[in-house]
Amino acid sequence: MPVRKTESRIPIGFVAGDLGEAAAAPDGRCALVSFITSPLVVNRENVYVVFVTDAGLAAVAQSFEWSFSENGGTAVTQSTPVGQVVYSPQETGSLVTTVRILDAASTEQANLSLTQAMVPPNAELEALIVAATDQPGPGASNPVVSRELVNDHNPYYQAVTPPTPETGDAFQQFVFTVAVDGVSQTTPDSRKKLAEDLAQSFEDAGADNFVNLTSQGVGVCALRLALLAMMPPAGAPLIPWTELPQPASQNAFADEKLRQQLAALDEPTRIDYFNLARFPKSNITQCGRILAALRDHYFGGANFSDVLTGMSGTRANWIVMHYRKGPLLTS
Amino acid sequence: MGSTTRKTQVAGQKPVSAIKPNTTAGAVIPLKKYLEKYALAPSTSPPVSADKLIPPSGTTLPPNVKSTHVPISLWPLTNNGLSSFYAGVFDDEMHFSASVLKVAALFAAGQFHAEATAFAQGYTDWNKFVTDFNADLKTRINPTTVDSHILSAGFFLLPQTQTILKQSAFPTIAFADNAGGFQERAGRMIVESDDPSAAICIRALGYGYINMALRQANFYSSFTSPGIWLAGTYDKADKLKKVRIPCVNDHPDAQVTTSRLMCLMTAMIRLGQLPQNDAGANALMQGWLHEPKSGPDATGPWLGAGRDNTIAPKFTIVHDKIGFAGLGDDEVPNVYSEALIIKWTTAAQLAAFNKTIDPTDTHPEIHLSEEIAVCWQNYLWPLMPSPRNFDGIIDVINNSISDFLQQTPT
Repeated sequence: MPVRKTESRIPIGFVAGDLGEAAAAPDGRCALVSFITSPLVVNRENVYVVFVTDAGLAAVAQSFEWSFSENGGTAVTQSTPVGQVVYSPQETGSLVTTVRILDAASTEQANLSLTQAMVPPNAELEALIVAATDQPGPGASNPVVSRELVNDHNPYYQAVTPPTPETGDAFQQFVFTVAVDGVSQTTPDSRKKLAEDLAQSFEDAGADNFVNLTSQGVGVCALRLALLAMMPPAGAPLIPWTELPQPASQNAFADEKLRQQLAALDEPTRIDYFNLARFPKSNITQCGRILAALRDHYFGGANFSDVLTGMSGTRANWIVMHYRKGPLLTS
Repeated sequence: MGSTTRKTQVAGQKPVSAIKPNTTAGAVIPLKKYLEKYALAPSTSPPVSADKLIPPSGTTLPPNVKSTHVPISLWPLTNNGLSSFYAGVFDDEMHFSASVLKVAALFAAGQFHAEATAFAQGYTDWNKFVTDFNADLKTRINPTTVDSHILSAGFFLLPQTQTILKQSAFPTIAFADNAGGFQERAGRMIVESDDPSAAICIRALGYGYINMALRQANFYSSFTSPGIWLAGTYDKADKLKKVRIPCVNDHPDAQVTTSRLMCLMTAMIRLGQLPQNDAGANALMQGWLHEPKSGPDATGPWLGAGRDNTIAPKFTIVHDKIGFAGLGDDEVPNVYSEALIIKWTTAAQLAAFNKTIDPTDTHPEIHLSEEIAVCWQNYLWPLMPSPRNFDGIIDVINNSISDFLQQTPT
């Protein structure tokens, strides 16, 4: 089954470009999505996913042949049994990524290409990191985390907008902070493994694994799928607003019950939530939406500048705690 | 609030969160791609630049020739610093480069001037200053700052402050400028590549101080790592007072560098960054390196006029230091090398490139200036077919830089 369930559908109400930089086939049968939007940074790993949304094409697809050509040079090719691959650009310039969808006889059934720029690491950040080594204070924080966020996800967290327009960039700062937390707590490899395990869980019978795996946050912002179901991007909540107790032992039990409700949702909906959390672009966007919803619920009327700076940032910390563990009972 | 929840570090993240996304400005085909094409590509018809860099196949190489690699480093400069477009081939190989290493002695002289200037603050008495400064140097030149091979050899470890500096100028720090004094010798070491003058300067500075200065400025780290090594005086009388380090193209030698680091040193001198905080010393250094050099015994660049070169360079030469010497104990054949700053003459190519990396013309700090730091080494000119000249090096630089600036499809 080369086309996994997770690559068979794009979330309802979204297009491939909402997930990352995308190239869609003119006939709409498939779409290629890059986690990182051009320009890519040299020697930083990127993930490409091909969605095969046409049932006929999905039925004949047996393997995927990827090729990466830098600056018009000889392409590096790689075959994968599923529609996902990782590639790290080797030099600055231009990268053409092509995926060919092959049938059992290795005959091409469709192909997609994406051209992206390749650039050096962000010079401003590198200067900040160098300067921070000689200065007291937080500076560039964790350089590994900062490099991932600035080089890979910068356009995403800087593009988030609060549902109610406000002056300043407090909302972007807040989302950035949550992304820093998410990236700090996990390595790219562990995030990738969780995503793979979740994708595989849809292929396996039984929901137990899905319940266990969703105890962890998914993707860059460690997005909890149960919270996403409680505050879906569109339509009525599929899990009712449920506040969880704060004590750790009670919280864990209540959270598991929540995840069981999530696992009981229909599979296409769960796949859509997984994909929204899997791709950094949609992950960060949904994180921002949830933070805004939590702000509205618990601190309605406060703008994000107040949330961050007022009351010594207490409200911001509460919202982050609701995001990670809740929503929590606060009485 | 639960005790297990970490506080967010909003304030600390502000500088990073405010950084703008990468633009496509740096998405250029690397200079290295072009340099490799012209310096390393296999022979084609008509012959490519690389064919002019190494002896033709079938040439009987003298026993002393251990490598036909020609390291080349190219570092385009901006108006204020090094650009991000460095390229090199064989550029981390340690090669004997003879008189090019006099630039390292010049660097050490500049560092000494800067250190003395800083140390002299508050002193009014010359003798007291010399005593204290020498004591400080003696303390600082130790196994943690100087390579153990140099220390154990024991030759010329400490600087001769009173030989290097001018007492009558004190408390201003100046090089001794009497006839035949340090300043004159340092100038002749570079302008004429005069070996006796180099010997006087290097003995005065001392292998210990030179190595410490190189290490402090990150041009040297360890005996087994690529770096700049100068522990010989260029005076045959001091033949037994050399401290040798292994290199790729010769037996262990006393004047050895990688092209990358010598290119960097040349660039930093040109940019006014060496020595740090001593514009006066830097001006002297730049003056001696400047082209054309003046005087009856002044040297001319290998890549310049008067060297039987037939390919017109697409550049002029701003700074230069040449090197040549024989390999092995019998000093045959000669190998040639050079560290220089060139000035690209096709302004339209530079303007087009700067437009590519800064389409909105809002980041002048990343624009390439006209100048490029260059270092090449181990050119076995005597083994080339006639006409023997430096066309191969000129050809590589002409083509690599020109294609890079135009972003010619590879």
